Amino acid sequence: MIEIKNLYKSYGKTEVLKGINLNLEENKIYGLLGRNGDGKTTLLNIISNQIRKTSGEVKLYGENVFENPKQVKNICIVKDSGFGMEEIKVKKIFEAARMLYKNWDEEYKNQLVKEFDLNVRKKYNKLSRGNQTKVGLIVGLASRAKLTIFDEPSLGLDAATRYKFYNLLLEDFENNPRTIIISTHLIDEVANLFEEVIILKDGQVYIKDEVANILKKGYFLNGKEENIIPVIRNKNIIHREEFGNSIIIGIFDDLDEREKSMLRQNNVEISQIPLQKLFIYLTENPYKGGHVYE
Amino acid sequence: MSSQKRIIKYQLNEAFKALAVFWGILLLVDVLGFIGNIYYNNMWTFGIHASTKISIVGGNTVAIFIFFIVYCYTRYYEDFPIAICLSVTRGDYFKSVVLENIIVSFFVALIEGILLKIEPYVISAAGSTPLQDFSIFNTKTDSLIYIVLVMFIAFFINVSFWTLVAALNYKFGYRFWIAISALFVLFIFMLNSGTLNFLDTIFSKRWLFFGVLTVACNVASYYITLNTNVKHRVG
Repeated sequence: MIEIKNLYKSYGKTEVLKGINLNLEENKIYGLLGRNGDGKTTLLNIISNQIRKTSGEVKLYGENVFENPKQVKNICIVKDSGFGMEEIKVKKIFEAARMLYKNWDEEYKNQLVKEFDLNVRKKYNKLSRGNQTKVGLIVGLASRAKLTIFDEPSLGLDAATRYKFYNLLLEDFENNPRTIIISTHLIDEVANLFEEVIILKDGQVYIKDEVANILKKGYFLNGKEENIIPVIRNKNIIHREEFGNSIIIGIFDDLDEREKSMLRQNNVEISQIPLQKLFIYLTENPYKGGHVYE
Repeated sequence: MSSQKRIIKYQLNEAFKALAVFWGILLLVDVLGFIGNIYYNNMWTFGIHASTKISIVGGNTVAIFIFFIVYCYTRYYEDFPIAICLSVTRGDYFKSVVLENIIVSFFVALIEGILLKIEPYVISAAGSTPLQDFSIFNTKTDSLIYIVLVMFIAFFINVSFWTLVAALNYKFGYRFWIAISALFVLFIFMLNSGTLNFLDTIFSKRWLFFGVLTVACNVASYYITLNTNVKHRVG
C-alpha cells in the first residue's frame, strides 16, 4: 500500500531522515517508535503531504503522494500539534472535516463526541490539552480514511480515556479495516494494538517486524555472570545490570531450546523483555543498538 | 465528489457566510445613512459627496476593499491550515481560492452595482441630488452590466493583490513586514530622486498594467502556496 524508497529530509544542515525504505501493507496497524528527534513526525508529515521531502519516493497505491489529490484524499493525519489554527470552534473543525473527507461518518462522529464528553461549542484553544487531543482522535476515527495516522494520540489524556480510545480504535478497525499508523511513547499501553512495529533510529529504519517476532528475540537473563556468558557469547547484548553476585543481561537475539535449557540448568532465570523496555534498550546509549561479547 | 470540488464547496460555504454578515451590516449602515441624510440634512452628510451631490452606496467601496483584505488574510490564516491538515493538496486549495475570488468579486460587484443603479431614485425621492459620476463609470449613462463588469475587474485585481500579500505574510511571518518596510523606504527614496518617473507611462496604460499585475499576483501566490507549510504553535 505504501512504498517508501530512499527518503531523505533535511532542515538546513540538519539531516533528519537518512534514506528511509519501508513497505506498509493494507489493513494493518503499525506502531512507529523512535526517540525524540529520530524523525517520526517528519516521516509521518511527509507521508501525509504536510511537508516536502528533500529526496526519495513516497508512493501510496503505486502513485506519488506529494500534491497528488487522488492519493492525499485517502490519508488522514492527526497531529499532536493540532490543526494549525487555534482560534476556531470545535464544531467548525468537524464541519470542515465533514466536507473535506469523502468517507466521513457524521453519525459516528456524533457518537464519539458523546463518548468523549466533548463540548463542541468551545474554541479549540480554550480546551484542555486532553480535550484538544480528543478532537483529533474523533477526526481520525470518523474520517474513515484508508490510511489514518495518529501522531502522539495520547497527549494529555488520562488513563481511562486512553484505554477508551484504544478500545474504540480496535472496534472500529474490525468494522472498517484500514491502515493505521500510531506514533507513541506509551509503548506498553498500545503494544497489543500493533501488528507490526517500525523503530526509527538516527533517521533510519532500525527494525520493522511483527511485534511477536520482536518480542521473541528480547530476553532478560538473570543469574551469575559466569553461567550466562558462555551461552550468550556472540549474542546481541542490549542491557546489563548488576545486583551483588548476580547480573541481569538483556539480549536481542535468537535463543534456541538447547541454549535455553543450558541456561536453566545453570539456574539462570529467563524472561521476556516488554516492548517498551526493549525499545529503550535498543535505542539508548551505551548499548545503543546492542553489542556482542568478543 | 472529487477533493477539488469538496474544497471549493467548503471555501464557498465559508465565503458566503462571511458575505452574508458583511452585507447585512453594510445594508443596515446604508439604510441608517439614508435616514440620517433625511433627518439631519442641514447638519451632516452621510456617504460620499461632490459639491451638492451625494451617494451613500458609493461609500460602500471603502468597506468592500477593507472586507477583501480581511477575507484574504482569513483564507491563509484560517482556511489554509485547516484544509492542509484535513488532507487537501496545496494545488487544489489555491485553485479553489482563485475560483472563490472570482465568484466573490462578481457577487460583491453585482450587489454594489444594483444598489448604485437604484440609489439615484431613492436620493432624488428624498429631495437631494444623487452623485452618479464615479470616474470609471457613470450610473446614469452606463448600463448595469458595464458597471458590474468594471467593478468586478477592480475587485478582482484588489483581491488578487491581497491574496499575494496574505500568502507572503503567512509564509514569511514578521520577515515579510521587515521586507515591506525596507521596500517602502526604498520606494520613497526612488520617488524623490525621480527614478520612478517611468511609472507615469505604465499607469497611462492602466488596463494593461492592472492585467499584468493580476496575472503576476496569482502566479506568484500559486508558487508561494505550493511551497508553504502549515505553521503550528510552539509548545
